[in-house]
Formats: sequence, structure tokens, C-alpha cells
Amino acid sequence: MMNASQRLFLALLLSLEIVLTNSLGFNGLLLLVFNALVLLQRIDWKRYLTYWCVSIIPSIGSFWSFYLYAQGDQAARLHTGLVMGSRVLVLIFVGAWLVNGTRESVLLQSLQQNLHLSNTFIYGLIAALNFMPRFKQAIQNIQAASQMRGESLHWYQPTIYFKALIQAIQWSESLAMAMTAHGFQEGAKRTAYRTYPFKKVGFCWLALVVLFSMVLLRLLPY
Amino acid sequence: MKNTQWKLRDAILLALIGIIFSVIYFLMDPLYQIISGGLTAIGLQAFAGELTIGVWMMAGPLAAYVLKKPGTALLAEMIGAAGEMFLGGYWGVATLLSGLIQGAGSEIGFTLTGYKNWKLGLWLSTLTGTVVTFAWQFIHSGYGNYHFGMLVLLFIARYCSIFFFAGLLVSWIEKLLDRSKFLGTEKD
Repeated sequence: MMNASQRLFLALLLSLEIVLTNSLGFNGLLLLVFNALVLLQRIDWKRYLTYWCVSIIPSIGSFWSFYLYAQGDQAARLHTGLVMGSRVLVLIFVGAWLVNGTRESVLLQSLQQNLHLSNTFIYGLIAALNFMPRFKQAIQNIQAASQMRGESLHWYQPTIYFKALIQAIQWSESLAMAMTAHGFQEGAKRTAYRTYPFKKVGFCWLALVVLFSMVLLRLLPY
Repeated sequence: MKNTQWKLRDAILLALIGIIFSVIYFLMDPLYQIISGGLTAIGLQAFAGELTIGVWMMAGPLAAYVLKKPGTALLAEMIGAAGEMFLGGYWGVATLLSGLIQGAGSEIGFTLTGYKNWKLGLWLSTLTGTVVTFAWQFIHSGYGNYHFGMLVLLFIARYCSIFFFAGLLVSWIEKLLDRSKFLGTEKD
């Protein structure tokens, strides 16, 4: 239906709409739709429940804060609180829909092809993404090494960032060298093994959803 | 400075910095939850965001200082945000928008110095970052509904947080980098 870039655009457009409007009905409807979409992606139950667990506290917190300290009479404050609380929930589920349906590397490559971004940049990003799991290890190594000297490093100390940065600088040099050794040329024209073209149906969907949401916002003023 | 050309190594380093911070941002989410939960009990949940925002704005200024190129702060912050979202951060797709706003906020500070004075740029970026992100928060979280006094307090809390994390802490890291002479050796 939609390629990865179009999904990203849809998610961004919808989140802008959610953020710039104050309609509880619209938020509620979107929450239902995106819950259904996430469930249709057949993620396991634990993960689905985790989304609810992590989103419920900030949502209630947001509601409570506005209910107590917003301007206006009680009814107005209740409305503001409910809108703000539901906003948090919707944003999380739109994000979940985007993340579960799209792999990072596919999203990056389709963005590169669709928007003609610099190849050096995108390949650098994809290469760096592979280091994600190794960073955890690297941070643990840094902490263990300083434990050996009788110091413990925490997230709020500059030293740990400094050491992680040094590691990143070294890795980026080695990785760039390795990519060059494997024939990667900066600025050279590349062909793609897989292409992710924009789909016309996707644009229709985008337009449809945006139009429909505008109508909904008119119909659901509360 | 004609240091505007992106080499492969720079692109990877920028991405790695973004990724380091995306992990930190992701790990900070539960901490934010705890602070937020505590403050919710007394109805001051809004301050949880204001007091911790600085942590989420560290990637931009730091990357700008390491790479010294226009646009770095914005890009690093956006990569950090995207990484946080993909790791499963709490704010979902809103993270991307916040990343864009936070990055742009920090970036303006460096732009004001014409990308020449990176030390001054850092301190300016704490100020522009506060103003821009506060304006965004105003729209995003409906701050227009709060009283003026509350808004002033929220602004001050935000500036303190950004000043400490994205200003002082970043400048300490920069000092360590300067002392190590690690950045000086890379000029080819």
C-alpha cells in the first residue's frame, strides 16, 4: 500500500495534526484505529501490553497536571486534561505502528531513493546502525575498566561520554576504511539491488487520511 | 570555516554519536517516568519534562563541537531521536518531531556565531534551544492553558536543565576531548 517513506510521512502528518488540535473525540478514534493496526501487525501480546504499561503513567500524569493547573472552570480543565492525556497515548501507538511495520535500513534506503539524499550519508548511517548492540558492550567495558581502578562511572559524569566518544571516533575511522576497502566510493553513482519507489496508491491513502481527518476534526469539536 | 564537506568518516561518526545518545535517551525514559510519577502525585508533572529536557539535548551541541560543521547539531539530534523511537521510546512518533525542534534550537545558537566560535556557540545554543523548545512545548503540550506565573517557572526550570546538561556537562566533555588532543590529530 505505502512504502516506508510514505508511512513515515503519514505518521508525521498525523502527529502534527494531533499536536495542533484539541479534540478528545479525534484522539480517541485515532487511538482505536492505531490499536487495531498494531494488533493487525501480529506483534506478540507481551509487547502490546508493554506499550500500554509504559504509556499509562505519562498519560495520567499529563491529565492530572492539566486538570489541576490549567486555566478555566472545572469542565474546561477536565477537557484539557483528557485531551492532553489521550494525546500521549495516540502518539505512542502511531509510533508503534511505524516502528513495527518498518525496518530501519529499509526506511533509510527508501528515504535515500525517494528524496535523493546523499549516499555517503545514508550508507554511513546504515553502517553505524550495525554498531548499536556493540555500544552496550562498549559502555559495559568502560564501566568495568574503571571499576578495576576503584572508580565507578555513572551516566551523569563527563568521563563516560568522553570514553564512549573516543571509541566512536576510532570505530568511525575503522569502519570508513573498511568500507573504502570493500569498494565504497564517496560521491560515486550507485545502482540499487532493491528499489523502494513511491507508490501512487500510497499518495492516495495519504491524501485520503488527511482529508478524512480534517472532516473528523470538524465533526468532533469536543 | 570551509569545513562543510561531508566525508564518509564524518557521516559515520555523526551517526555513531547520534546512536550513543539514542541509547542514553532510551535509558533515560524510565528515569523520567519515576520523576514524572513522583511529581504527578503533587500535580506538577509538567516540571518532570522541564527538569530533564537537558539530557535529551546533549547530542546536538556535542556533535557540533566534535565535527565542527554546519547542520551537525540538527542532524545528530534527529538521529538520536529516530534511534530512540526505534528502540521503543515512550513518546513514539512525537520523538521525531521533538528531535527536529530540539536540534534546530541548538543549531541556531551555532548559526548565530557564523559557525566560527564553537565555545560561544555552545552557550548561545543553550539559550536558543530553551526558547525554541519552550515555544514548541507551548503548542505541543498545551502550555497556553497554564497561568503566566506557572509558565515563567516552567521556562526557568527548562533553562536550568538545558544549561546544566547541554551546556556545562557538554563543555566538560569538550575539555576532556581538548586535553586528550584526540580531535587535533584528525586533520588530514
